[in-house]
Amino acid sequence: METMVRQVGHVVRVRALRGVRRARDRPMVSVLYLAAVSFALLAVVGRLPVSGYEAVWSDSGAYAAGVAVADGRGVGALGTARGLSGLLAVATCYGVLVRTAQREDDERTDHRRLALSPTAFFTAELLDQLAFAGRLVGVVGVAGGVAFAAGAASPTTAVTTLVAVAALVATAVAVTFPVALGVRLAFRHYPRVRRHRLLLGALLVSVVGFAFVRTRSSFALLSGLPVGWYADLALVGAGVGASGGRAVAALVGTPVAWWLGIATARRITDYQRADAGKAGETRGDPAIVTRLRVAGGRLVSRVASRPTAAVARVVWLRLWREPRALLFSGLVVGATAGVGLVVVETLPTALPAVVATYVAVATGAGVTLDPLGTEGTALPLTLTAPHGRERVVTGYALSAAVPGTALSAAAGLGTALAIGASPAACVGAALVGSILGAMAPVVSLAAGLRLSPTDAATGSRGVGLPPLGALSAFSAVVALIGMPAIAATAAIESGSMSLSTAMTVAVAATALLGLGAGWYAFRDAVGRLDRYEP
Amino acid sequence: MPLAIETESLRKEYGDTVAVTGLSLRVESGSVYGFLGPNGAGKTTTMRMLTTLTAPTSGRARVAGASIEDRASVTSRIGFLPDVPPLYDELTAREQLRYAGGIRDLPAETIRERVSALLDRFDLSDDADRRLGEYSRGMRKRVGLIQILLHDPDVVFLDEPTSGLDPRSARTMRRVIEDLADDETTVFLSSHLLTVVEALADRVGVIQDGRLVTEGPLDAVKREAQRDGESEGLEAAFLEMTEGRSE
Repeated sequence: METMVRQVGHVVRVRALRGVRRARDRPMVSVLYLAAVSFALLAVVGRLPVSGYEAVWSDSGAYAAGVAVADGRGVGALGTARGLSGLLAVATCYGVLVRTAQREDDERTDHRRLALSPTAFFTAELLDQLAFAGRLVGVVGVAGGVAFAAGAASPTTAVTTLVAVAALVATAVAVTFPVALGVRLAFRHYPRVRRHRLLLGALLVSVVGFAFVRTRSSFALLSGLPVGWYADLALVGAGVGASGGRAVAALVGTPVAWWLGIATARRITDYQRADAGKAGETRGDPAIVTRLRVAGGRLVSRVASRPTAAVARVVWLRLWREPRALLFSGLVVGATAGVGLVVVETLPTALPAVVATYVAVATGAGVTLDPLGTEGTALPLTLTAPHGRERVVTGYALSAAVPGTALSAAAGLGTALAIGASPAACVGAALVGSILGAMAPVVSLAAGLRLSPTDAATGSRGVGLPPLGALSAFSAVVALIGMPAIAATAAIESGSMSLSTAMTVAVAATALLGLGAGWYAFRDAVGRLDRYEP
Repeated sequence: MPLAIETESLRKEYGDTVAVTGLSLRVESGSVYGFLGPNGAGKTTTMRMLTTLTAPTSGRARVAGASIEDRASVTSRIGFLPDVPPLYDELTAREQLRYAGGIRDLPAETIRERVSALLDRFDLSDDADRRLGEYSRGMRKRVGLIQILLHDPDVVFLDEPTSGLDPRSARTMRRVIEDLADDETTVFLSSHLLTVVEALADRVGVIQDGRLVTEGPLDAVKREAQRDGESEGLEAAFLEMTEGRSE
């Protein structure tokens, strides 16, 4: 037992060290994580009785709820806390699922398995996941609990909240980890499931995205589930009617969940070790795909040099055979679909502009977001070809811009026609869509070359996943360029601008912003790749 | 004899670390040059500088008659096969080779003919339509070598071309290097396998801690080591020159 504890401690320590060094190597990603956690902290803790704090955050949150409880106005506090518990659990499950399902290491060859007992191995894995979820979700939960305790002037609640958040995150990790292993096993074993990862991933992200955008509905749904019992544990002494039985059940549930999690993970990996099935074997491409590829190849050959066209053609071919990078196109749309829905609810006539922006984001969020990672071990071939660096940038940009321009324009036009927009609005939507679709891949290339972890670029042997930092920066820029179209729609609705003026302004502003951003991004991308040393 | 590679006081620093310093080399056209050194001695950094993948901190070099500052000229005349062959796993060998020819702007007909001929020569025709992800290490090395020969380069840089290969694949690779030399292609060969260098190289250079510690015709380097020690051969020479350096 002592040996196991020492081994587990050692593994967790090394994993933590690797995590710290990785974060240091990728400061932009760390900043984005910090920004996301800070925003969540502000939202959960809410307004504080600190002079000038209202300028930072004015909505009420956990602290105000604590004050209300202390004043005897705490009706509904428990329900909200239960809902919040559910939301924290959803965030933990999502993080662990994505992190585990994406991992590239192979359970059959992992060297740690030769040194550790299965129990020690999975305990270390779960602790690592716990540390990951703890520094994101746990911090938010604890801060909310402490703020509530401070508002309610109840030190006991601060302690019970700490325990409850730790137990909640630990339980969510233990339940999700074997599920994530199962997902990986399914990807590996069933070629059909593997091929439809895009759909599954987009579906998952959409569900999670909606859970966070529609907090009221989510709270109502999640507070009724056992995961809400952890709120009872947190508020057991706060005098808000928390159930002692549920609190005990939550507390006991955590070690049980860990035991079950480890046992299930062992069974899954035992099965995997015995499983010879492997997805991804050579198979012929369907005729329609070959025809599309040939047609696309002819098109790019007309507009670009032979080497640039070769790069674009190979990007398409690789994407078709390994559509992992497209997963992120779906993920980013799924993750932000809730935001788009809110915009459309507020301003229904903005639907064509919103749809065109989303399609442009989706087409730019593929391989162009991580060209170095996607080139991987093949990078020296491209870099040692004459003018190879420029051709990679133009080839990649073209590979996404050709379908992106057509798709975004068609999406904008199609949606405008579908909602019965005027002919001027239809033309405007098509033009805005085509500008966004053409420009998005170039911005995405620049973001990818700036924010990709270039030290790992040549290690990959497959189509890479874009880094989160690049994905966020790229999405923000494209959304910004799509903004004039939405603003113009608002101006038409409010009557402050005529239809024709608003459409002209929208198209001109989009073109100006798009061309400016595209020109700058292209120069930046070419310059960066020109200076790049693998 | 014209020079295929000529360097003068080449130096590369990574922050405070000096990877290569004072490197002056002269490699004749059509020869096989064996570049030896312990791990971390600066072999790969030298190759990266000569293939324009990385810029030197100071010093000058010309490859196939062009300055390494003129990236386009150098890259149009060289081929570089790194230790890990630069291939896309999702492509078949034939598709990969067509791509390699395409990015070098070779006409489609030339690519088709050369790919077909080289696949035959390297005994890969039967597997040419299988994806590279399913290839063995030896097969990947062979495809990697084919793709750097498609444009008929003047100088080829081979980084550990036989490492990890089974005896049959290693022998094929050695024969190809001999054929290249017979065709007047200059081969700059970096390898840990001294027997390979001994069998193929006309001249050798030994680099240690970023400095060239000895350089000359193979026999001369072996004789130099023999004078100081008792044993013969390139291995003895290598150990003698790089003494004190841990692997």
